[in-house]
Amino acid sequence: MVLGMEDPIIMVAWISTVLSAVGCVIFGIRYWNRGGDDSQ
Amino acid sequence: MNLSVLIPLVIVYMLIMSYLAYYGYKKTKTEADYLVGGRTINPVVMALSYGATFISTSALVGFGGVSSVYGFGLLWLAFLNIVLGIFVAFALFGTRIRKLSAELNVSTFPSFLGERYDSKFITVFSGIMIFVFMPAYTSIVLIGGGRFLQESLAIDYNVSLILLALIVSIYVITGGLKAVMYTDAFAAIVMLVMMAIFVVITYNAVGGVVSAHNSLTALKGLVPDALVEQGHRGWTSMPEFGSPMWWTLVSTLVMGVGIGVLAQPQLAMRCMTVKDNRALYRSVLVGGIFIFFMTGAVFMIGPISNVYFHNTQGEIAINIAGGNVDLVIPILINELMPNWFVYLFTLTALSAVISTVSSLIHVQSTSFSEDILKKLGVHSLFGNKISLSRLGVIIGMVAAVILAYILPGGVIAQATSFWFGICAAGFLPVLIGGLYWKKSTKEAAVVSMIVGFAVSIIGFLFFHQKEAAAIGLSNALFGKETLLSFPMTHINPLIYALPLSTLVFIVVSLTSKKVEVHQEVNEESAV
Repeated sequence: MVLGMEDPIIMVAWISTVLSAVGCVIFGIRYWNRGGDDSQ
Repeated sequence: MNLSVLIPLVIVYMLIMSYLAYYGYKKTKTEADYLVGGRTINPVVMALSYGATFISTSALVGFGGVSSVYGFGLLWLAFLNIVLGIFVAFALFGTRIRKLSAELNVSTFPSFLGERYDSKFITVFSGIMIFVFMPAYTSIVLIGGGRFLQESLAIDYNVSLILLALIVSIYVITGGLKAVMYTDAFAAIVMLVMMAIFVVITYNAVGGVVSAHNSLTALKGLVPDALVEQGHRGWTSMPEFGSPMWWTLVSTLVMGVGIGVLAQPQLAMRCMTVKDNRALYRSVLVGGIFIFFMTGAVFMIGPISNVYFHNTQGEIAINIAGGNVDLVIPILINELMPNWFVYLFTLTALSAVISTVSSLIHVQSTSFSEDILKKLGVHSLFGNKISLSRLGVIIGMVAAVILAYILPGGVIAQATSFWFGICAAGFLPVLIGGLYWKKSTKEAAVVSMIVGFAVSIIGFLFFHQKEAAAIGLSNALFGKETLLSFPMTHINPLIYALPLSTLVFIVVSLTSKKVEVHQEVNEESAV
């Protein structure tokens, strides 16, 4: 059992939820200064 | 709860909210300010407002309680909320919606679709769908808030309901979208801080992340027999594939709400309020964190509340709550959290209600004034003594309050699922086609919307057990709660209505003649 979860699908759900939030933070930082004033 | 502490706290909170609404009012000078915040809203404010609109008290308290029964499977919904509800909604759809809406000079979701396809029918039809069906969703958010105030502040339910309706109406009528978004952002900060503290303390109380999950897995034998028969296999496992519980979890709770968020008018139009793509990219960061600490946190807290209650009282959460899932989170807070948190969580719940209702009422009112009346040539009523938008606020709020008395109790999840389901089936193919597909046509959009709304509404009224039983039309007309048997009784209508409206959209687009409408639309559409 990884992370104490009996079902691997649930373990993936828990990790995916955390990683998706981390992904949003990374995306926000990487694109912080892109697309300003209709440049895109 | 000590009311002598709580009531002054609520008064201070309402004073801050009122100041922000007044600030919004002072900053509202033009029609664009009232409708889309002048298209210059700060990205942090936009993301927080979007999140606070998305998350109502029912999402936190109601769905949190549901997760104490269903287990960690609901985390798939939190995952979709972050990936689709934030990343796709802002970075992919949002950038196109923002640019196109500015070029087409539109300020509402229905007029965005209508102008994109050069169809007055689409604008008016979308406006009517929103104005007619959204009050049901608004009313259940109001019901949740009224009940919460009744329990926490000991205010009479009727007074609570009217008080909330009045406060929100004043915010929206005076300050328009700027007042709504400023108050939303403050509400969101309160929600974010409280939920972050809540999830950390809850995990800590049961020995940390892995220990909590191990303990929950070990409680599998305590799942009530009635739930085992429905397909429950423990809180750290998905329900048995194809069982009633699996269909409800996957089709209604995860897919229904998770996909439906992309076609929510009150959320999609938030992308029209910022000035450039940079603001939307920055919003991804704030929105991702916010939604993680809302649905992500509460869908972790709900299941592990079973471990906490078992450790302290020898019972699982649903038994402690006397079978009422809506009570699980409030009881957990009262037992686990310090007193100051209980008071501040009351403000969190109040924030979640006000922020969601204010945004819904704003969209209802603009649908009434901009998309229905003005498109039909009505530019003033009662000799111009009252603006159409403000009249829309009053009508929308009165309808929501009346429905709050008519709708049967315990329909929060059903009404949410209904609204999200019909919006996804009716709007999503047309929205995506309008943003990304050059070959999409007006005829296809019209037929797809009609098919999507009709099939999903029929499905909810006659096939899907929870809504059909709550509404009672099938029983009244045919003497049967639902017209079809399992699994159709447990498959959310979105699951068949959305593919059908998508198929219709594609087929009609390919077979109907494309009429050139707006140069900018074709330049924007990718395929």
